Amino acid sequence: MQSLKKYTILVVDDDETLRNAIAFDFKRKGFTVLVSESGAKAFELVKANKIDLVISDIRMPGGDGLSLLEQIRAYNPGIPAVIFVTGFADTTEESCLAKGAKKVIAKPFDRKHLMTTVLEVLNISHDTAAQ
Amino acid sequence: MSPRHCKPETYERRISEVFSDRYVNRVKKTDRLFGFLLLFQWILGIVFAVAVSPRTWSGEYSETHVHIYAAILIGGLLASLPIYCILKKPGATLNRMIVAVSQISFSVLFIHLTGGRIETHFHVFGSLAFLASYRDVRVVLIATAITAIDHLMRGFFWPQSVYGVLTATPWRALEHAAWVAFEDLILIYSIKLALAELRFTSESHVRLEDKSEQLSDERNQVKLLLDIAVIANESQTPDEGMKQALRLVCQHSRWPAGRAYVASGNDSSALTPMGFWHLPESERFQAYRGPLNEGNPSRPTIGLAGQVLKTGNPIWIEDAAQDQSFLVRGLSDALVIRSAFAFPIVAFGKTVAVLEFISDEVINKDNALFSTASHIGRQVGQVFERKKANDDLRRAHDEIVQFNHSLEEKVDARTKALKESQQMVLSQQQTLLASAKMSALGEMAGEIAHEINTPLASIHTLSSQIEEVVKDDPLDRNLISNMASQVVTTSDRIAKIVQGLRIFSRDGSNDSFSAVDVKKLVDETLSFCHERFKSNGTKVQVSELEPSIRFDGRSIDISQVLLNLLNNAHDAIADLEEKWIKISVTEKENQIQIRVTDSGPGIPPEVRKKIFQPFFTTKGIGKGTGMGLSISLGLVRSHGGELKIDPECENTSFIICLPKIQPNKTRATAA
Repeated sequence: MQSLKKYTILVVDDDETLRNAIAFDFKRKGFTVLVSESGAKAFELVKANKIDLVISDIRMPGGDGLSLLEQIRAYNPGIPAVIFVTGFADTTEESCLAKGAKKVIAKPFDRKHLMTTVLEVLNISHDTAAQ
Repeated sequence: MSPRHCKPETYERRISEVFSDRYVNRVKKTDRLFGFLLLFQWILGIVFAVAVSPRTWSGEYSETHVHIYAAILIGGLLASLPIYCILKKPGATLNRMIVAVSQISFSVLFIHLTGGRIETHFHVFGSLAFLASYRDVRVVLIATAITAIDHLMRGFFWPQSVYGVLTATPWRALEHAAWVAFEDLILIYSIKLALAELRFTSESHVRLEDKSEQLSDERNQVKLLLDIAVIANESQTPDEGMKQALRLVCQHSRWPAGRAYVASGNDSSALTPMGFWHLPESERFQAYRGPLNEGNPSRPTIGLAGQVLKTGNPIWIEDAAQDQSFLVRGLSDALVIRSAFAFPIVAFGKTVAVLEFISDEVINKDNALFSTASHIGRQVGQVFERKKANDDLRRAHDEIVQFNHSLEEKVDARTKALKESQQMVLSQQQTLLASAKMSALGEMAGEIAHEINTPLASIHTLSSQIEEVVKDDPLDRNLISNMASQVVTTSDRIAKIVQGLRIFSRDGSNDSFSAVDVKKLVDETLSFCHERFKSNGTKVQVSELEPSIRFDGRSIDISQVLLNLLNNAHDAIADLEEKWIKISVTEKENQIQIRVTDSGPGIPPEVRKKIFQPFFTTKGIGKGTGMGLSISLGLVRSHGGELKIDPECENTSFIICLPKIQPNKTRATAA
């Protein structure tokens, strides 16, 4: 548990229910979790804290996921991000990856798949995570 | 005054004829007069002889005087021959010569019988004067010659017989001769005067005759022209007109036969003989029939008719035998053509036909007819012109009738086509309505997906977490309860969105009208595009709505209209700094007004005019169908309402006006 505490994950979604549900899972796993309702506020948190990974929705009022990606890349290319996409009209997976997303996950997603993906991106072994 | 009507030689001949007629007439009268005079003189001679010396004594015998016998015999001889001649052949030239000899012989006889009495010498003068009434100098000269011979002979051999004396001086004869010569001079002069007068009166007579003939000719021409004018008016066809003209010209002139040619060919340079003639019944003209009576094919402009066609002027050939330039060709050998006359029928300013007249006798040029020909030609030409005018009129009429007929057909066809295209438009409108809905659905697919996928992700995550946390020990009931209630709330959200999809999922046009809650309608519609406005930061402000506001209508239709207005507003202000949309609902008597105002700068008047037209769009290619507002207007109107732009508003403001109560709740759509 101790080992995952050093990882800080930022969850960005305008939907409070989903945002809190995702945060619940990662806190329960042992991560340090920060949440934000918009891209603009999330970037403030990126600047103010040492963030290891960002999980962000694409569509949000007050700064969307893609803008946030660009800002993070400009600020610190080392911070990986997992991006959610929703409908057909959304920005494609390819364009998200092109802008620096590590992984793209379509909503609705399986929370276990999200967890696996985050652990993969952070290079954390399941064994370590299971502790 | 020179004679105008006939030729000078004819004129002179005519004068001579009249002159000699009159002269002979006069001579006949004079002959008759002398007949009686000679008879009377014979009797008178006998009476004188008997009265003066009936008997003569020869010794003692008294016997009838030899003079009596002389008077009877010689007088009878002198009188009988001229009387015989006069009776036999009155007026003959020889008569008056014989009469002259006889009459002057009576004078000689009387002189002899009276023994040269001077009174009887006067008989000579009387005789000469009487003979002068013959108006023939020769007669006077013969009489003079005889009396002169008699005087000379008897004066020489038997002077007593002449002068009543036994001896006479030669001066006596000379005196008598001088008297006679004097009288002759007077008589010859008066004869000349009388003859000149007779000639003058003859000439006057001929001139008057000529004049009256001319007048009669002119009257004839006038009559001809009048008749031609009548037939030109009455003839229905050019053929009939030409036939009648041929007949009339022949009737009014000496031309026995006539025929017609019609100009033919592309440039009217050829002539086609017509199949009709005007011919007299007389046998000798029947030869004109036959070869030329056929309707020959057109021929080039040769012959008389051809020349007329070429020149456009009448031509008169007095004697074809002496005029080789115009042969009237192809005529029968049986009948020689001596004279010919042709003139053009003029219509539309050109020669359209030629009338030709022919004769087997010489016909002298009739100037009156010749100059009338051009008038006749124009008159008959009017039949051609009228025929063409009639034909044109008929054709025009036929065309109009035809046109009317085809017009009716066209109108029928158009009406049918119009009905069909109306049907097509109706079905196309239905299709368009559907496709416009589909297009709007496409536009919003992303929002719908996001709108549903996010709560779905929440439900999925929460349920999965519940599944996990129920295994926790100790069991955190509050946590589970909280999660479960979040699942319920989130499910409700999805249900609400799915309900909003009705707008696209169903065709509401056949729904019956029902009471629609405006607040609910606005909320439902907004919930559907809530995500969209949220995503680009558009503030949506809805004025406080009383839940009681309702209207009769189809909620799906009006919801679609409202959604369309909201989408338009969204697109219009997407690039603006200030993004807001205000929705307000007002109630006004029997009407409710739903107003959608956005932060846009308003719609320019030129766009405003066209904005409700189908396929009009200001959005980029592929973004708008141009059908949204047009369909919206149709939907609102099907409710008996109106969709309009508020021109007063400085922003963009659309107003949906709807009657609260529908007079007929099952009203059909106007679309």
